Amino acid sequence: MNFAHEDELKILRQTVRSFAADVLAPEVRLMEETGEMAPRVLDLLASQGLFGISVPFDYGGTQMTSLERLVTLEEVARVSAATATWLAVQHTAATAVLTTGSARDKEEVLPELARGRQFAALALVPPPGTPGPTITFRSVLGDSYRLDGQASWCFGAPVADWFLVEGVAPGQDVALFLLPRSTEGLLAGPATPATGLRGCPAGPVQLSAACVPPESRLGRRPSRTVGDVVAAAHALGFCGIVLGVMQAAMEAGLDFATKRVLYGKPIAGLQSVQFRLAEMYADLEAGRLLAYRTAWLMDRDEACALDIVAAYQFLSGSALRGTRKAVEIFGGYGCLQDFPVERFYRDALTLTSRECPVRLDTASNGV
Amino acid sequence: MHFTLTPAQQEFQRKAASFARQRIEPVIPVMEQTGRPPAELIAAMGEQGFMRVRLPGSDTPGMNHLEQILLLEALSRYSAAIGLLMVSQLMGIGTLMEFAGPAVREHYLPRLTTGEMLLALGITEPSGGSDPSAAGTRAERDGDCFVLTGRKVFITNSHWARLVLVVARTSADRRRGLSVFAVDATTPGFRTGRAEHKTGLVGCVTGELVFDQCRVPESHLIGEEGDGLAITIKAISEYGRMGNAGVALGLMQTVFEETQALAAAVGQLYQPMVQEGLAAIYGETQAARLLTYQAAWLLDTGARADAEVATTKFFANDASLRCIRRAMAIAGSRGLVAGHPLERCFRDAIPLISADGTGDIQRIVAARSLVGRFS
Repeated sequence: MNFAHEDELKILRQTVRSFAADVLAPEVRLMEETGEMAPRVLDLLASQGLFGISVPFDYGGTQMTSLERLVTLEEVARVSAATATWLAVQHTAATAVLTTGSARDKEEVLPELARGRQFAALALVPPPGTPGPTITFRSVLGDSYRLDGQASWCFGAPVADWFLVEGVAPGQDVALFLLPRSTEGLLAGPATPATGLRGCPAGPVQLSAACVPPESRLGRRPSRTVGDVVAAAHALGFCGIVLGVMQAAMEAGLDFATKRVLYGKPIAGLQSVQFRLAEMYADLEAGRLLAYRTAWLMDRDEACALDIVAAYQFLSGSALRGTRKAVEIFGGYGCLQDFPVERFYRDALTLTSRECPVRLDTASNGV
Repeated sequence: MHFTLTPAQQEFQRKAASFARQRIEPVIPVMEQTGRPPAELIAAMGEQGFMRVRLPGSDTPGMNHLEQILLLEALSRYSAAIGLLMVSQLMGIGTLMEFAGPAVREHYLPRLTTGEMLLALGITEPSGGSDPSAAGTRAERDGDCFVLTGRKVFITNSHWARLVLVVARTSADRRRGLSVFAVDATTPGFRTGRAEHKTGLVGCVTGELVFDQCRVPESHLIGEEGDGLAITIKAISEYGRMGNAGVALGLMQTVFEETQALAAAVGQLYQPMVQEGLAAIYGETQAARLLTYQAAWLLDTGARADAEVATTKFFANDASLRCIRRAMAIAGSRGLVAGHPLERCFRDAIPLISADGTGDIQRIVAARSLVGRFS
C-alpha cells in the first residue's frame, strides 16, 4: 500500500487547478446566468488538450490514465462542475469510438473530438426494467438499422455534432451507434433549463424512423461488453466531477467557518459546525479513495465493475449530504447566489439525479 | 499510489484468516454463553506472533500499524470481542515498547507478547472518558513509590489482565499533571470491581479497576512524570482508535458475506434491491477499509495523522451501522435469530461506537485538526 501521489499526478493537479482558477472561475457567473458555455472557454479547454484526455497521441489526444482523468475532472469541477461535465461527456464518447469504432471513425471522428473541434452528446438508455422513454433499433433493408424512440435530457444534445446513441433491440440486445447531427430522422431539441450544471446544456434527442448505415453501429464484439467499457468510463467521470464539487464545498465551508464570527469567536469552534466539517471530510476522503482505487484498477485492466458501482453509489449519497452541510454552515448566506455553496448543492442534486450507468447485474459478477 | 499489500503481508493476512476460521469460529457459541474465550486461545494468538508490535522507524520483527489492522480485521471477521481484546493488548504493548523503562520492559514485554499475560488500560473514570485530562485517580509520591487511589470503569480486559496501565494525577497541572503507571495485578491495594453485562462484544470482559492505597514502585512509572496525557492520547489515537476501526472492518466483512449467503440461500441474490443493498454494503466496507489503511500507512511513515485517525474511527463505526441497517432489510427475521452471525454483529457494532472515544469526540478532533491545517 502506498497512498502518496506520484509527482506527475501532483503536477497535473496543480496545472489543472491553476488553469481552472485563471480561465474558468471568471466565466462561472455568465454560465449560471445564460446556461451556456462561452465559445472562448471551449477553445481554451481544447488548447489545453482537455477534451482528448482518454485518446492516444496518434489520434490527437493526450493519452492519460484513468486516474489522471479522474484528477483532471476533479480539479475542473472544483471550479465548474458544468465544464467538467462537458469534458466528461466528450471523454465518454471518445472512449466509445476508440474501443469500438471502425478505422474510419478513429481517423475521422476521434481527432475532431480529441481536439475539441467537434462535440458529442450522449443518448444512453435507462437500465432494463426502468420505466420511461427508450430507443429501439432493428435491422432493415439487409444490413441497415432503423432507430426509433427518444432519450430526454441528454448532455450536449443542443450543440453536439455527434450523438452516441444506445439502442435496445427487441431481444434486449443493446448496441451503440455513432450518428452525425445531420442524420435524417434525428432531432435534437433545445436545451432544457435544469437546476444545476448550468453551462452544460442538455436536451432531448428524438429518433423517428431514422435509417442508419451498418457502419454507424459501433463494435462487432458482444454489445454488452462494448456498453460496459463506455459505461465504466462514464461512471468514473461522474465520480471525478462529484469529488470536485465536494472538495469545493469542503473548502468553502472551512473558509466561512473560520471567518464568520458568532458569540465573539469563529463558528469553527462550535460543535454543530465541527460535526458538519468532520462529516464532510469523512465522506470526501472515503469517496476519493473509493474512486481513486477504482481508477487504479481500471488502469491495471483489473475487474472492477462492483467497485465502480460502489464508488458511484457512495458518492451520489455523499455529494448531496456534503454540499447540503456546506449550505447549512453558511446559514442564510448559503441560499444567496453571492456565495458559491448554493451552486454546489444544485450541481450535486443535478449530478446525482442519474442512475449509475454501470448495470448492477454486470457488477454482481463481483459480488 | 498503489493499493496492493506486499507478498509477505498477503501471506500474513492468509495466516490470520485461517487461524480465525480454525480457532475462533468454532468457539463463538461458548464465548457467547460464558462471556469468555478459552484460555488457550490467547496463548495460541501469542504463539502465532499476533502480539508482536513494530514501532514506526524500527526494523525489529513484529506488525506495523497496517499489519495490526490486517490482523484485527481477520480476527474480527469471526469475533469482534476477540478483536477488541487484542486492541487493548496491542495498545499496551506498543505503549510499553515506546515509553517503559528497562525494569517493566524486561519483565513484562516477553510475557505480554507471548500471550502469557493479558493487559488492560485504565483511562475512563466514572466521570467519563472523553476528557482524560480530568482524571481524578491520584498517585502520591511516597519515597521511591507512588500510592494510587481511585477507580476506573468500562475497562476492556479488566478482570483478566495481569498488568494494568493506569493514568493517574501526580499534580494539579492540567496539561502536565497526569502520569501513567504499570500496575501488576498482584499488587496489594489493587482489585477489580464489577464486570459489566454488555449489549455485545460478549466474549471479552469490560469492568472496573479499583486502586485503594495501591503502592507502585517508581520503576513502574511509564515515561516521565507528567507525560501521562501525551502518552494516553497517543495510545488511544494510534492503537485504540485505529484498532477499533480494524475491528469494525472485520465486522462489516461479516455483514457483507453473511447477508450475501442468506440472500443466496433463499434464491433472492439477484433481486435488484438485494443487489443494490449488497453493493452499498460493499461500498461502505471498502470506503472504511481504505480510510483505515490510509491512516495506518500514514502512521507507519511516522506522520501525525490526527484528522485521518479520528475520521477513520467515526466513519468505520457509523458505516458498520449503515451496513447493518441495509443487511437487516435484506435478511429479514433470519438475521435477528440468536446464534446467527448477523444478530451478533448488530449487537457488537453498538459498543464499538463509544469504545476508544465516542463518534462525537472524533468529529471534534478531526474538525479542529482540519481547521488548524486550513487556517
